[in-house]
Amino acid sequence: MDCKGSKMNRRDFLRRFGYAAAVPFLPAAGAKLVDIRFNVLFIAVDDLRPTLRCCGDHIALTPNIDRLAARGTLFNRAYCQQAVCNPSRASLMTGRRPDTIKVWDLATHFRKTSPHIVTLPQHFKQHGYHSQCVGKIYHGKKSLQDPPSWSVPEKFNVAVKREQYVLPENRPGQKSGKMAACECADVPDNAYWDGKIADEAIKALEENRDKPFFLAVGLMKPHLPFSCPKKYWDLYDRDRISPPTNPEKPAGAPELALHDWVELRGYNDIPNKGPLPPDKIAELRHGYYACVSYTDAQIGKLLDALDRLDLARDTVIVLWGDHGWHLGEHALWCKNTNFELDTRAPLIVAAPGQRCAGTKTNALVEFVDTYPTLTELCGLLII
Amino acid sequence: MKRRDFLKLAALSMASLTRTAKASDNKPNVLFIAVDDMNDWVSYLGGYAGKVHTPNFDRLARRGVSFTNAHSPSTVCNPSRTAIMTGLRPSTTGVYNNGQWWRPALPAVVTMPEHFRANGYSVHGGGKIFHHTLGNNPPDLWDEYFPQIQDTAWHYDYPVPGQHVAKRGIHWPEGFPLNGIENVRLGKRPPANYREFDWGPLDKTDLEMGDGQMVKWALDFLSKPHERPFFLAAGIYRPHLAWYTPRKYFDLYPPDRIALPAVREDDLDDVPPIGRAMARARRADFELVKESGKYGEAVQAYLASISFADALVGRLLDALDRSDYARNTVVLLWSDHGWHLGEKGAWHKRTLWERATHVPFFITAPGVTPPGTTCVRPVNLIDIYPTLIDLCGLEARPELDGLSLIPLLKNPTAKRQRPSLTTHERGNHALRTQRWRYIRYRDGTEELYDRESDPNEWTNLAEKPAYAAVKKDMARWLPKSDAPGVPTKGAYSFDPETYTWTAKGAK
Repeated sequence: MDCKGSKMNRRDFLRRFGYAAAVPFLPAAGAKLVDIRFNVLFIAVDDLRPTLRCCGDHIALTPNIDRLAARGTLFNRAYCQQAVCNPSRASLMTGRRPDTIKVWDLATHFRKTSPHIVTLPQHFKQHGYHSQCVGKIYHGKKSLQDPPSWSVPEKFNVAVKREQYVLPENRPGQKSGKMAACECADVPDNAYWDGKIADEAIKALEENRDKPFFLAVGLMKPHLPFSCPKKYWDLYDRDRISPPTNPEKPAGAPELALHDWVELRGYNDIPNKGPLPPDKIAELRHGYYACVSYTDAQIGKLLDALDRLDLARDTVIVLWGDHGWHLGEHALWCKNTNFELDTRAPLIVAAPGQRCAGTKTNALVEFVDTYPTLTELCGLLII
Repeated sequence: MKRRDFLKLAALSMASLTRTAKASDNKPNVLFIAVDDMNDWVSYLGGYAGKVHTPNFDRLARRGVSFTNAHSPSTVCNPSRTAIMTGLRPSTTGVYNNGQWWRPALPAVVTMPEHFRANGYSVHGGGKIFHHTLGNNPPDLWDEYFPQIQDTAWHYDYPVPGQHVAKRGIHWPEGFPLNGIENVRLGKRPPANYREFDWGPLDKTDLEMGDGQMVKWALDFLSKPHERPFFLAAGIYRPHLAWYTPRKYFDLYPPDRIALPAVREDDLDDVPPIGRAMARARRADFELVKESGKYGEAVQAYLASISFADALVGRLLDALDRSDYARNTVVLLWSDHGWHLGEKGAWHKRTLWERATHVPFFITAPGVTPPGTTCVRPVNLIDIYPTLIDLCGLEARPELDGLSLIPLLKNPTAKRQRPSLTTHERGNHALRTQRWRYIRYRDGTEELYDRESDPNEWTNLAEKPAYAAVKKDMARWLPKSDAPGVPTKGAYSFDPETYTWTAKGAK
């Protein structure tokens, strides 16, 4: 029976719903039917750990992410489900834990185990939203893309390593791969992919401003290689970026908990084994901060576009990093461990007119919470 | 229950109802006009320091009884309107704020339109009668309903967490926000609700506005023949924010002649903490208005909105006078509560002072009300339901909290002992007699104002021993008990397609 929350007997039920059935609800003659649902701007940043000014990192220059945090809620203790790109993203995008969808590696597509699962953007699409992907949302391999999630084909979603360099010495051949771990080139933002992604995303905002949309924007930095325009390197004085605070392996941790950062060692300026020289450590740390500021600037462009297009007041904004990163702490580089620095990642949710905008919370949240949060914010049925 | 059984039973229940309807030939029709957030600034109440153009309210005053000391049951939309339409006070029902749904909490309560229908009337409603947000307007209350049309992108389909989104509404007006406040443009706080926090003239005709479209529907209704007596409820939304009106109503109020409300800096020093908190509820909105240099424009827009609502009332009266129903129709007009525009440092409603509780209220009943009379006795809109029962000969409902106003309609100077009672959130009450306002908050703190010598309610006399007897005499009219608040919206999931609520956690 309906209305379970109240004490209603049979006669009350008839009195109320009998009329409803017998007398149709007359809609207003000529009333315009227009959607004014919240849009969603869904920003994923690859390998972003909370090296953000709003997260208390006093080296980081991230004025735009800070500005986003001031509009919404910053989750100080948000954890990814697994500190590996594909499982983390597959989990967040399906709202299921890696163990549920059985995706724990960089090769498995969640559709292999759960072919009929409805992803977060797909759910919005099924509710009449225009759902679009610009940049890296699912893991950046062709085989791991998910066309059913989107209303239109993805753009800039898969980038090979060669495309992430602009300097000729880092693009020696047609099929060259990992070269230097860092690149500093005096080029405009959109010489690199994240600049192109921001431009394309702004175009998507302009084109879709009149219908409810779910726009996923996946920025590729600060993932290795740390390649970004010189002006972002110039924001930082390398000497003032401190070395890792705890560079030793955790005492008593089993070897299984650690790794030899194979991902980084693949770059041609990184030794195949052993520790890194101090100047390389400093360069890499500098590069990471520069790339964070580069992505921050692209996010600023998106926020400005929302304001300019009068979309801010109708748009929920989410920002997340797919997992954390080690920058030499624990004698580690890259991700993949279960330590704090790898599992904790930034999460910001900002809704128009939000109460208590600008708050930071220490509440413990997980990335699987993102899916139900967004559906509830936008008034969709929770599945 | 299967769908077919349900429909069969539904049809049966309709049939039996029609058979049992009493002969209703002599019953008057009712034109029931509501306005929203309209305080006592209208000309006949004199709450505004300058001139207010409300010729149609003056016209209503000439036709019947105008109440100069009428107050709302609560000072926020949902509890006030729920109280008026059910005849039951917030302290009886537990509906205290806009965060609650009244219908699942009170499934067996017979609302005013339902009672009219059960007594042989056809019942028609339009615009804002019950609170306008999703889930407060069950379609089964009415034979016909013209849904409210907003002039800004607010609320019919404002997403309610966890709910479907109804797809009815209109988009932002061109150039939103017309008041130019940057936070509003960007959807930032303050203001508390940027979707409505705007004002300015629109280049539209009266009948093109959201309220105008509803009035047009009501005019059509009045121009047609109707077999059964009707209860026609027309809910005008202005002067609720957003204060948009056709341009000519702004032109009535030249910016250089706007009077700002009288405010005393130390006014709240003698007010108990709960009262100060009420005054603070939308202080940030008020500060935003002042910081943006828009205070005068806001007052102008509120006045324009009052005059626009007045003009729409005029159109309804014109149509009624032209119709076949002119001589046998009871006309009522009420506002759900008042509005502060800075008085006592408050912006919005949600207080227990005069500016929030005191409302325009008129009744014209052919053959009952002497034309052009004023009634200064304290009355409350909770009295509407029992009054209409008496005026229209409906079946009595002894459980109602109000008292019929018939004695005052016949003789506006008749004695009336009971003061008006206004409640804001559980346990906070304001009583109003002809001379005094007595407020008691849930923690026992009090305010007392002598309105004869202190019309701005600036001097709280509650602590002075000389007034102990006055307080004691008034306190006996406080509710004997304060019903616990009914569940908040968060306790249910609501499906607007079937208009049903399901308690969360229920199987």
